[in-house]
Amino acid sequence: MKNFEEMQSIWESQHDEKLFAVDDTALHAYIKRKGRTTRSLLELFEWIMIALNLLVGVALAVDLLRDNGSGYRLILPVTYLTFSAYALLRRLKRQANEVRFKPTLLGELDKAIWQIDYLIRQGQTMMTWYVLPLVLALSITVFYNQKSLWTLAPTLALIPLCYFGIRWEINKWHLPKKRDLEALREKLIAPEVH
Amino acid sequence: MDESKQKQIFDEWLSQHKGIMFKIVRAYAFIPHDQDDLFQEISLQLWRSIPDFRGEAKPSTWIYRVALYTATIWARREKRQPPTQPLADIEHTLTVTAQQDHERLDWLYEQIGQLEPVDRSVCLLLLDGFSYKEIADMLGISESNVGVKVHRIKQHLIYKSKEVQP
Repeated sequence: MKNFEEMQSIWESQHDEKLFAVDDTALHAYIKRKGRTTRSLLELFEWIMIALNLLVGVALAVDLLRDNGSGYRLILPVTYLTFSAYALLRRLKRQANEVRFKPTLLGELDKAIWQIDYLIRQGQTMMTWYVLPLVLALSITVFYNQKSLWTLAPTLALIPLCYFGIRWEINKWHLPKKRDLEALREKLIAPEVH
Repeated sequence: MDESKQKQIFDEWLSQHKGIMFKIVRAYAFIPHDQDDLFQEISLQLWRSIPDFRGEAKPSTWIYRVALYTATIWARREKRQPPTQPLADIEHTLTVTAQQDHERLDWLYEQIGQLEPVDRSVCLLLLDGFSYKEIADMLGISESNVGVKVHRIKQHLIYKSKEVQP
């Protein structure tokens, strides 16, 4: 082959349609199974936050209404319901933000990097804006309930677990994936061919 | 979008444009098991992309973009983490039915396979006759950047062809 045009004519002569056979039934079964069940990690995390906080908040509120409770007992259900509403708002905001990415290879890469960044930010702010306020709300409730603060011990023990768990997840999964996507992005926008 | 409509579009795309998918599969995966795996991944991503398809681009352009992105990510992931699932556990959807007796085409695929995943995308689009502007639009980079990449890819391929045919 002396020039690129010759390569192109060889390329055009191929009949790859005949090279492979697709098992339509197996392919549809695979798509049906994967297409429905696999949600992205991000979607799953958001729905868990929305549903879990809503369920606990509603259960506590129902319990409160049954007992005609008020005052300090309002703190926990309100906290949970606020978290659920906030998680829903964040989800809507994220979806609105994702629209801005163009349907190009670069746009897809930028979107994937942005989504990982979003997950990392979620993980990092979870300690400050979720775990700590929740512990505070629990402490106030326990204090006003005149129960021993020792009842909080299991919850408090979860804080370092939660903190290191989140850090581990970020360092083990999200950061390497982000670095990989960024390297790919660099390759795409850099004019050099390696 | 209801699932029957989504299935109808998917089947249409598959029957009319599977050649695009096969070329990409062959350029990014080199053994039957990997080709099967990548074909499944591309099919799945195409299926998921259907609700986002607004008809602003031609289906072939859309399929090319989704398939190239999937293959590029797949190639990097496979390089980093070899598959952990035993071969016997994987469902087979794609089988090689014929061996093409086309030495020069095989050579071309071999050379494309040696390029970086991003450059493979540019090379495939170029060989399929897309203009610099179309390639730039599909990849999201400037036309001049495409020009530089194309120039170097052509140089590389011509240099390699001279090695085998002095």
